[in-house]
Amino acid sequence: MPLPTKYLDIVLSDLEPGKAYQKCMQEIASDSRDVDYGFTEAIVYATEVRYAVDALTKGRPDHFWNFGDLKGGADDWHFSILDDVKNLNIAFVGGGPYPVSAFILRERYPQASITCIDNHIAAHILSTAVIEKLDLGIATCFTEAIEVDYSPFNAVVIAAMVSGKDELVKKILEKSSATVIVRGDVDVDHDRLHRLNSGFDNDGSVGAS
Amino acid sequence: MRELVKRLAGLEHLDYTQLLIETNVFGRGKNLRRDHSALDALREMMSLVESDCDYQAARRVLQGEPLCSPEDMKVGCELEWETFFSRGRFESLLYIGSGACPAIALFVLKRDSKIVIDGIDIAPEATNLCLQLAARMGLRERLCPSTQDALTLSPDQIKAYDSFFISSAVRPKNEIILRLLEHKRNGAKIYGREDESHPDFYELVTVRHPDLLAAREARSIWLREKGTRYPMPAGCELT
Repeated sequence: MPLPTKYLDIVLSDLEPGKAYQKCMQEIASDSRDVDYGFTEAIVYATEVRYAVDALTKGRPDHFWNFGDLKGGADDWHFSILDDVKNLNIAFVGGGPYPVSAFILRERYPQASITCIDNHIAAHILSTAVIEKLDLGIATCFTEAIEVDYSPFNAVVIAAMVSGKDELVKKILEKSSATVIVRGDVDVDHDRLHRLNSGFDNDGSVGAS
Repeated sequence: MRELVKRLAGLEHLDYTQLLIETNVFGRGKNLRRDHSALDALREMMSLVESDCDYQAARRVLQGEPLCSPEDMKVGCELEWETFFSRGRFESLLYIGSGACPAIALFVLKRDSKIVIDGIDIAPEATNLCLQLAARMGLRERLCPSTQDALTLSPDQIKAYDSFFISSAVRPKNEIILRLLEHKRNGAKIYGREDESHPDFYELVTVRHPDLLAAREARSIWLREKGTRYPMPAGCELT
């Protein structure tokens, strides 16, 4: 179903895309709206695509910021884990068309090797174009996350909306020695696994809580 | 087929037209020996290059460049216009598989000031690119894309339209057509794109119904009325 006009007006407005996203979230809360995966996804993708298009059109934004981190602190949490990893070689899974968290990691770790992995062709094409345009030195890989060989990586970050996180996390922990950071619920415990509750379930949908 | 996959996989840049030419069952693809895994690989390549063509076209428009021609996107629009849209006087069209840069929708909107087109596609990036493309082109009120699988269209949604257009790449095309036929309002028309020259990649329309016009029938109408064959895009020739 299309987004209701109110939300379309916001995502297509002149607001900075991340601000537009947060305004949508505020409207969802004030409407006491039941959100399903499709609804959230539509807003997230609209935001990311707008960011990507803006980056391609206008160049580098004033700064990169994690618009999806409504509670704040996600970046610092990432840094607190990754600062201790030497010779960082990061796989970033499910970055979408504008993998802003990977961009923030690039700024924090200019020497790190970073690879964005996505199974959506448009996400792959757009993120590749943005990375090239902004000269961020991040590799991109179009494939299913579960099919990747994670053994060369020493850190893997899994985005909240990735589906099948349980299986993916298990595979990464089993086949590599990487530190794994996952946003959203997973039913796995491991000393190399770090979880940040984001309200997204294993299947990538918005959780009930 | 395996050899072809190997050769194409080794290319630095895979061109859509080249892929169409290599796999055209009336041309170079006629003697390809079918192989399941090679066919899967070719399907993935086809899907990739087609999507790339679509997304790059949308991206260029959003970056301020002019809209590329349908030919650049390896599609024709005249056939559909002449045999379907110009005769239908439609007011509300549902375009299934509208993608990021729906060439036929933009072609029709330019020529028909009344029609409103809703597009659905299973790829959210595509519909969001299309959403922003429509806004950029001043078509927000007339071109409304959203993310949905056509098989989940409710009967009420289907009844809301007087016409339907189905892209070549949509799957399962015939199942979707049957669902539309079951729930559509009386007299609503359906156009089903297909590609006879690449049946392994683009499902042929096998359903027959008086309210359904498949591309092959459209080409027959064109030939009958104009006395010449409809010129197919490069790589899709039928002889």
